[in-house]
Amino acid sequence: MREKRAGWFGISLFQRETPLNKRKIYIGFGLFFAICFVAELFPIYSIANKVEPCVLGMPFGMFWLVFLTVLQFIGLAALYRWEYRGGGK
Amino acid sequence: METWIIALSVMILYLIVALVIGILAGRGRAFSVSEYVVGERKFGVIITLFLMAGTWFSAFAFLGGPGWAYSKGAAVFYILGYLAPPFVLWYWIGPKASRIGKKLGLITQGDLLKERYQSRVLPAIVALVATIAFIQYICIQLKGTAYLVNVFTEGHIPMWAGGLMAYGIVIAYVTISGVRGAAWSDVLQGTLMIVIAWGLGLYIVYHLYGSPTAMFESINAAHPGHLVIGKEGSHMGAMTYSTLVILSSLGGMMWPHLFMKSYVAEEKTIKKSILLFPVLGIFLIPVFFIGFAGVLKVPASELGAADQILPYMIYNVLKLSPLIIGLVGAGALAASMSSADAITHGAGTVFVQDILRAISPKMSEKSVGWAMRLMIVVIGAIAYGLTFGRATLVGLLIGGYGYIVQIAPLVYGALYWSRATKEGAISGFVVGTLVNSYYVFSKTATPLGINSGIVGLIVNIVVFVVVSLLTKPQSKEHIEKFVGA
Repeated sequence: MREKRAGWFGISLFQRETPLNKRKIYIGFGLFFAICFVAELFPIYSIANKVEPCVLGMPFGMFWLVFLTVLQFIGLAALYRWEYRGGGK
Repeated sequence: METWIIALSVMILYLIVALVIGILAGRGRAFSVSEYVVGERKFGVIITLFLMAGTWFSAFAFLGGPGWAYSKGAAVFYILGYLAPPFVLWYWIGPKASRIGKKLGLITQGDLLKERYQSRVLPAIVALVATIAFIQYICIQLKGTAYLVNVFTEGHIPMWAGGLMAYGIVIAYVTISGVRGAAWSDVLQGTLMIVIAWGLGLYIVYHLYGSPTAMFESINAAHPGHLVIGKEGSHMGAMTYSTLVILSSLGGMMWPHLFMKSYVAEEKTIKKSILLFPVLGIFLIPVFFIGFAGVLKVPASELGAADQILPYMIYNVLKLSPLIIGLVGAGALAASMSSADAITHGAGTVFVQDILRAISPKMSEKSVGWAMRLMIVVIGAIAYGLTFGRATLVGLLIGGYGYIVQIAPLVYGALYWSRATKEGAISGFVVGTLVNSYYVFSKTATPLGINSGIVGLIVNIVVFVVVSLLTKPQSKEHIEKFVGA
């Protein structure tokens, strides 16, 4: 088991005691954050790179980034809830 | 009474309050390096949050942000792009750094590198480069403060005196009270900053244009391209924007003074303060509005530099009451000072802990304390001397990030990669830094318009990985203390 964990090019992203099923959930969260981040960058950002429609008084390109920021923090809040209340820890 | 005298009085009053709070915060505590630097690792959520936010939002947010919104339009959105990602990363690495830090008694980011890579040279090189970046960053704060005081007093207080006044106070309370001085004054400064940004930002937009939507529509009609990226009439290309977001996201938490915050709190406290951060992050929206509001109202020829747009709008376009002007001045001073204190404190600490202590490891606790204070004053003086250059505020900031981001592979490697070695870390960092410097100083265009820090980072990672794999791995037990923590 020890060997297997250290085998992935020597990279270990988790605490040793984190069991496999919890690791999967962490990876799920990681993917969510990665998608949010990539959506902030070109080429995906080009769908949002325009002025109209203005949302909440902001040009669409600005709103998009604020929206993704909020989304990422909601993700962090969910992660925190899961870790401390949902039995993640 | 004349407007500028009232405005100046309000600002001076604010400075006195900041000084008193900063000094009182550190009273009655016996000096120890650990207390001075990390406050004995005992800060609560709110203090940790403000300490972070105060450091994060600086003069560049208050003055450089509006300056870019005014002169470069949508390019300023990149700042929104890196609000969340560094904190997502920190949620992951912060608690781990905190656990290791507590177990091994680490104080600086360099301590982590020193222990993991078993090298005194590496943290010293990193500290040297970081100090250069720190000084750049302090220059931003100083310059911002100086602009502001200068405009608000109708030029009666020259740039050098305004900078000296505010920064002198920062140096005073940081020298005396260490991290506690910075923390308590950041609570005051952060609150003031947010209230003023929202009040002022919304007032300006509604007063001049009726609503934000109306404002952006008229800007778009008059200057097509100003509010988007990489189109005709835009001020920044798609590749430059994207790599800038990546640079700042990866570099954000690598600033040694921010990284050190991992050690000032418990794991749960770190996570909680990260969750509260958007409350403060949202602060930036109205600040950008202020800069955009200037686009149609202030011709560029009226300004000495784009970064003066906020004080200029308040003083010359809105003609607000002197009391409000003074308060806004205090808010912006707060923004600069709350960053300047943490950075100066960080710079002094890093220099002494990672460089001086590497040269003479036998320094007593007491002389380390005095050396830190002395370095804070020295670094402050150097930054003050360098301040009056030509670059814009955000430009200076990006310059700093190009260096800081080179630390990222070392830290991630130290925490997560068992094959990382001393030789790999040193060569990667040195080569990455050199590549970045080459592009910055020779002003050669980078391939495809990729940010120079990112070019350096790519080379850095490749060299780090290849050299590490070619050199002898560290012992299993040693690696386990870091990668397995």
